[in-house]
Amino acid sequence: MITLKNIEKVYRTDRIETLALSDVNLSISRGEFISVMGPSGCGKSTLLNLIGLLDSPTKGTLTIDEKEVLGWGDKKLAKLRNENIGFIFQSFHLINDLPVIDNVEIPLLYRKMSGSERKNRCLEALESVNLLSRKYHRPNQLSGGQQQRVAIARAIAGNPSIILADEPTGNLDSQMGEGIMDILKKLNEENGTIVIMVTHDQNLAKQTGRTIHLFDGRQVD
Amino acid sequence: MLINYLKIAYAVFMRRKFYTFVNLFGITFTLTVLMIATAVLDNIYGGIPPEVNQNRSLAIMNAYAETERNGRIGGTHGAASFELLENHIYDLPGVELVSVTGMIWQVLSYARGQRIESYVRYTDVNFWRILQFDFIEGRPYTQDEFDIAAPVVVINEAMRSKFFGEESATGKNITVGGKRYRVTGVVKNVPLTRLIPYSDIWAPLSIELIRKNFDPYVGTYLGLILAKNKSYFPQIKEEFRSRMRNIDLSGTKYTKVVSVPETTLELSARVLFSQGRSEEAAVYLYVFLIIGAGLLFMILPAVNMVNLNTGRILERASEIGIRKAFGAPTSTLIGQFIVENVLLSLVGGIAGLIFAFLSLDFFSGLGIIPHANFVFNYRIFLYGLIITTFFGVFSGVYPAWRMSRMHPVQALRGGVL
Repeated sequence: MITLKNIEKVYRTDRIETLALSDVNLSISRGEFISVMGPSGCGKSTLLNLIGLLDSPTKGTLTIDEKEVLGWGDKKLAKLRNENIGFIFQSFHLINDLPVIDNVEIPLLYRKMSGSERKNRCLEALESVNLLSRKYHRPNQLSGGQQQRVAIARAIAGNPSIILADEPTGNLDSQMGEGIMDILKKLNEENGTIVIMVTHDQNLAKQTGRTIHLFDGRQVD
Repeated sequence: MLINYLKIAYAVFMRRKFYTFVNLFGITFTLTVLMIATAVLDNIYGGIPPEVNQNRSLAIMNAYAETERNGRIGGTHGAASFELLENHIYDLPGVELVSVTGMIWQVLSYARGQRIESYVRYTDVNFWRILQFDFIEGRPYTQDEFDIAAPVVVINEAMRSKFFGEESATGKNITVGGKRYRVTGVVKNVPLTRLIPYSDIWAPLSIELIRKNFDPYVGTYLGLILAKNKSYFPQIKEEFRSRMRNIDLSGTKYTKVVSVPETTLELSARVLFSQGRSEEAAVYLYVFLIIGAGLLFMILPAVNMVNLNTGRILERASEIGIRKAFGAPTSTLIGQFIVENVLLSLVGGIAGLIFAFLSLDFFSGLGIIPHANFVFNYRIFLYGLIITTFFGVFSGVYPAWRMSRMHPVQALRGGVL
């Protein structure tokens, strides 16, 4: 489903060239739950951004659903992201100006879909994270754990085949973290959604099917 | 999607109320001033009654007779003389009607125990055909009345109320400048900004005894020309110029007579900018300056909005990052920002329109320009709408373009433009 071959990512500024990823090779199949571990600055988030098509590699090839996506234009990439990928971020990234239900609706806004269908999908997504009763609350009226559950609802509202979670429990206490982990596992097991999760937590990584270790931008298996 | 945009736009506007106020104030103030300015220009140049045929009308308002003595050039400026017009205004090509009409004169009257100062204009009958006055009652004087120099007049609404209060005036007599006249009709007031039709009282030119001016060319009359259509203007002007060139000046002190039919706009341009410029160049310069001043006036708040909106984008970097991550194409995001700006501008526009409406009413009431009624009409509303949309798009495009360049990863980190 997802294949990375000889991926290299270099960040260049006027003076400095930083090698963020080097020679990364990865093949991820449908239904896998993968954790990515490594010290800070080793390239975990960069790897996630590349798979999420938010950034492009300097070298190598990236294939999603047997489509080589490098060189695609903004519109085509946006469509692929919209239909296939859901993101969960450590700091939730919810829009505080909008109520919970409108936050969850965001991925659906960019699809051809009626308003009522969008609403139904949002309600289903909120129900699956047990937050239906909070649909008209503002994100800043919720606890951290609840906010992350809203973010998960947003990520799954569009029914993507891939969920990319960048330290989803990083800002939560262990109990809330476990709750989030349970939802991700359920999604993976029941829907066959690929989940790729960056984490520092060994205990969470153990609960995933496979762990990729990165160090200084390289895979160390 | 639009509802989502509107909700977020509202939230963003309310988040920084002072910024929103500054933005709105800029738009509202600018629009108010522009609407008043367009209303004034419309009052001077627009095709409103009685000058409904303005788009095919020319007027001969000025004449210049040049002298040369011992190599020194001098001359007389003024309105045209009666003779000059009588001898040369008829039989011009492409002309439907012509009129020879006097300038306004101030006259004194007494009625109902009051001293009444007013203006009188002596006209021919074609004057009423070229200009379409709104008659509240009665009619203009006829050709027969003109031919026998009947002592009749048409008065405006303001004169009627001074002479007769609320009563009808048609058929009644008034004494103006010591002479008695019968009123044939009452017209709506004409503002002073309308130089050609403006007056309080209009009387047949045939009763004005001193028709001859002291000078054979420069005097106190104006000629009105109603062309069949606008395309005849160049021919009419050229023919009249040529007639001026061919005047036999032998036996006079003059070496040259210059007079030309022109539109009201050309007249303003000539008076203001004719020094060392051709007639056409003066008009272009005048129109350019009017539009330029308007644009410059609009650009300032628009630049202010661009500046504030660009700053706001940074505040919303995370939102932009999220929308991009979840599949919003750049073009859709640009659309969202432009919609927000147009929305803000429209709110400012509506406020501006309300203020303009109230201000125009207020200025009309002040009576700075006699009888000027700065009407809030559909055309001015259309100008306002165009101006508002211009604001919205202009102030939204640049920030949206900057935003579109924001990398999604950087946007999610907090944004760098």
